[in-house]
Amino acid sequence: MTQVETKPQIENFEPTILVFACNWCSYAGADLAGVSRLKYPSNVRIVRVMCSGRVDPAFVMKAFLKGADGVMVAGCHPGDCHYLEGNLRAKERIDKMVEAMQVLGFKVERFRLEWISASEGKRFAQIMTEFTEKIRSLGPLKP
Amino acid sequence: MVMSESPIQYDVEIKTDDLKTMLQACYQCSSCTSVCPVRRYSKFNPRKIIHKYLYDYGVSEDDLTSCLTCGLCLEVCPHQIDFPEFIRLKREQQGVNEDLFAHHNIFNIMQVFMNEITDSGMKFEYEGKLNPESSVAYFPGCIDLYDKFLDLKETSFHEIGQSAINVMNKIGVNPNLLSLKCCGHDAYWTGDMDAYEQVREFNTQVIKDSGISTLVVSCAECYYSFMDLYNLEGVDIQHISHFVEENKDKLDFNAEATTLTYHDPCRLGRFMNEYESPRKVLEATGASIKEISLNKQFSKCCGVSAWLKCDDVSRSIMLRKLEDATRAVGEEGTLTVACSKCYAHLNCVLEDKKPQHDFKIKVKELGMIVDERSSPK
Repeated sequence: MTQVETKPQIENFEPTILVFACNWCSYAGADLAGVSRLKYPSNVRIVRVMCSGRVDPAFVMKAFLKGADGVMVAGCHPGDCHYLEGNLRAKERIDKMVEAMQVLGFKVERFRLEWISASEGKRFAQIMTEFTEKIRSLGPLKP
Repeated sequence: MVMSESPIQYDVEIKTDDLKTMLQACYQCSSCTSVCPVRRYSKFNPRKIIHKYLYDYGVSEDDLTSCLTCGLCLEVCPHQIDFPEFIRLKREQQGVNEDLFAHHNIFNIMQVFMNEITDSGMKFEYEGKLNPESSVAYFPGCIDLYDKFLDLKETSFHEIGQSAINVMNKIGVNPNLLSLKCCGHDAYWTGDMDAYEQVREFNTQVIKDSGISTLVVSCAECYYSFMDLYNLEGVDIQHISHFVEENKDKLDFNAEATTLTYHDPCRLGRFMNEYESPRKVLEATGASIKEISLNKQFSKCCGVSAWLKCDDVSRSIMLRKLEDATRAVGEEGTLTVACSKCYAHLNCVLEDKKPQHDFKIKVKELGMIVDERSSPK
């Protein structure tokens, strides 16, 4: 991940949003959104991971440090995981990370964990739009 | 007799620098290598590292990151060559690859996160009587974050802070729970001076503004940093063992007699020369101490320092430590540590039960033992 060099202006602030999407559900959901020609903001950068359980808290923290204004982890619905319980482990780990962020005094609205399945292209576009608007209203992370 | 000149003309020009001046007195006696805990299980060789550095062969990354900076080599060196300091300065010059940190480097990322993004101290939630205007303050350290990021099911780090606060309440002191950032020890010892300076400035400011006269800490690393690295004039820094030792008349110890063993953390023992205070506290609680064969200034390190490189060597060192403790105190005994880091590392290896080892020994923190075995007067 390279540092974002240009600092965004607050007036026309375009948030940088990083999404860790699981290969089997959420990434397929994003594909479906694309194939169905649904619109969602171009602020979203997707990183494909094989399972949401692959996402370590360190990746999320580092994404914030390297210039992301919002981070989302998207995986299969509980019970649908391709690897049986990867998403449940992700949830366990990420819940603890959110608690740690609160210890540090960080606004946890900038982070979200969502379950999006392969057939929910419409929902993917909807969540991304909603999350981008939310981050846009919060403003840049590093002024 | 005229000595003939060597037929070979050596064309070696050795440049000097500050680090070399530091190591100049080394006469390669190899005392450091013979005591080094890492040397027991790998080819890491402090004597050779010094030799290579003096003759411009450089220091490999593996050597630079394997050192535990535990200071045992300094203890036995006839010329008091500060090898840990050399490693620290070299890390500062050369930088440390962040892939070599354990747990995906999460604890260093946390530290940078505190500096760059949140810019406020850690917010703790502890029960007990707290008084924000008290002249005695307590700082638990980064233990609350270990609870979140280390996958230990049976070990609670929150308990360290909670029991320290309980003990202080029993003594009759309602401490001011200070909201500081991490003490910066790990950043300092891995050569990340920017991060270290930032937390140091922030913490010094908060401590000065709070107007406290005594700061009690649980962790040996916090104690070492606040005492040795920071410049906190007018504030008395106390490890929890000092605080209990001073106030032990105000506590009632009525638990039944037991046998314990005690592990000297390198930051409290060799770095700060504090061997007696924790032992006195443990004896005051009615416990008799059975010493590990290598104790006090010759105590071996717990295996990892500054979250750097937790590998098979570290694991072997930890297992050896538990073995030694078992030999001293028996299978079902308790090993007391006075440092949250030692507590984390030793419990981590205890919980990771593999067929190769089945230790029944318990590892507990000093404050937890005092809390268990005392009641208010």
